[in-house]
Amino acid sequence: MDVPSTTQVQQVREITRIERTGAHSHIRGLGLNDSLEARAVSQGMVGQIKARRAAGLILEMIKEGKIAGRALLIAGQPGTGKTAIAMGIAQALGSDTPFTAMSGSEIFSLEMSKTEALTQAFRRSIGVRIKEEAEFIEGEVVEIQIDRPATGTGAKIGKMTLKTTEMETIYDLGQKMIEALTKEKVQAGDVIAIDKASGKISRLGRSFTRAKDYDAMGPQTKFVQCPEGELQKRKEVVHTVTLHEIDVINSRSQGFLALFSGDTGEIKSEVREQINDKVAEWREEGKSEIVPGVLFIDEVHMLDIECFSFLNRALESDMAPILIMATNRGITKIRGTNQQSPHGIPIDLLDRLLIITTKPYEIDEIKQILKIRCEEEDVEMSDDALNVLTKIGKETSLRYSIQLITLSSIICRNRKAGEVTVDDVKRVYEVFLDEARSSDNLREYEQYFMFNDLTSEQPGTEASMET
Amino acid sequence: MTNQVDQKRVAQAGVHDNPDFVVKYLEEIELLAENVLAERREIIELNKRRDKLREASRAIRKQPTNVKMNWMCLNNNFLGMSTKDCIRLIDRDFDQLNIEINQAEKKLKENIKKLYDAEKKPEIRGFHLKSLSREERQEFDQLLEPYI
Repeated sequence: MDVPSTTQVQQVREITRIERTGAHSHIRGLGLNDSLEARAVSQGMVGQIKARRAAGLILEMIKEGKIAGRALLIAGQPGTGKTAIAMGIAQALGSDTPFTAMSGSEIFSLEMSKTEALTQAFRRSIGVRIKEEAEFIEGEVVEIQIDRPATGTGAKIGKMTLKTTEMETIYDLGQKMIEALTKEKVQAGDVIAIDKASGKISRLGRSFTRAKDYDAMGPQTKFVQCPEGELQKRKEVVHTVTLHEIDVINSRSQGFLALFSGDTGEIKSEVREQINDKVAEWREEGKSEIVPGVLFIDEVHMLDIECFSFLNRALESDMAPILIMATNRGITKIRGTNQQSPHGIPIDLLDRLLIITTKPYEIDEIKQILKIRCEEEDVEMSDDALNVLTKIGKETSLRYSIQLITLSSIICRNRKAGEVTVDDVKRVYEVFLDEARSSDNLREYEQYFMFNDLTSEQPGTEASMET
Repeated sequence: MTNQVDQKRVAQAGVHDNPDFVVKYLEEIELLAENVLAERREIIELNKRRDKLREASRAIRKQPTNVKMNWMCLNNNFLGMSTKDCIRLIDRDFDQLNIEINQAEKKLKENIKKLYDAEKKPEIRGFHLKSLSREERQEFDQLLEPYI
């Protein structure tokens, strides 16, 4: 049977939550077409064609989920879209795949060691899917009949008639079930569900058809429809949890509270090993599914040599997620050593990485990005103002011009106009300095600043000149 | 040249300009959906029969023990059989129906999978996983008891 492949409808993002706009909130995905070619402007991403195409290939690899322990490095100058690409990957993966984003300096905390923080981050990016099934008897109670024996002693006997829209039948009740029903105060007209394995009774509500039985009812009365289909149903529930959540819940008696408070502390490695074994055993039997996700470490040059050695080892395990790192440093010192290295990462780790570079944007790409940001921040801008802003962005920096958007819209609102004009932009440009002008200003008026250090020469150069 | 561009644009919009193809596509989807619905109805019918058998089994067992013969109705005939035989037949049919219902549920799952594939919908997460019973979930907690 050959059914034609209809192109999939892009997932419409639900607009039920009102979110504050962030620096990267306009990104909805990577903006690739079906053959993984990057479109010039799509889903909030602009330009960076090569980098986006590479990210698309990695995305396919992640979706297949079969290859673990791959690492990717996105390197480029500041303001060239590194974090944006990572956000694009996160959005494109959807809510199904675990995506943990963190910054390099988050590793350093007083509560736990660096390796523990890294291990937790790794395990937070691996999901486990398990399915629980239960058999229920779900129906509306037509009638309950409980007979007490004439003598004081002896068991009660009872009958209950349950029905759904399709069928109706009578159940004989045993002693314990009669007690449970009396405790729950189940009456005719209630819709109940009985768990066959545990015998637990839950009242789902009252049936709509019996809504007019009484004139006054308690405050908790909920009305539901009469259940459909068969009385004895099998329900399957699929849970997706991350390995970290399983660790935390199982390592303390009040474990689940620790998940919310964040006070997880160090988790013993025996606990982790037991969990790994169990999950692997279930995977062999087909009862669980491992969903490897993505761990994104931004500013990875902040990690030190111990963390990098740990990463080397951690990437070898078969329960490792895909690691995406980003940095904007060139040849710098590796933290914890005196060695220089590209991007501040040791060469043996660099060898294991796939490296993507991002290039500074061209002027028309900057214009597109500014247009998208204007839409995202709900600002109407005239074409002249947009051109001026684009020029500012090219000469100073992209981030500076993005920040000017909201500021100029505030000035525009103050004079009760609808559209931002060139004057608004000029005004904001004069008031707020960018990095280049600020450092010029500094050099000009250095003697008036407190504790200024610009007059002292660097001691290193002097020493080398002497020898 | 423009024809190619037009076709490409039409294909990108997810629309097919060939009506026969669309009709064939819809036919096949409807067939699969019909299978799913039919399977659902069959499960409901099997459940009805099983419940009736269960009620009969309870009723026969609740009789006073001196009743040695019961009348069983098959189509238009009434058969008089010993109570023991009646109970045996009813239980046998009950077990048979249990097996049939399980098989029907498995078939239902397969048909749903086929339907989802044909409609190009993404697969339901965890569809093919084997379920964990309650005991296995609790096994987990017992395993970790010594370490907590």
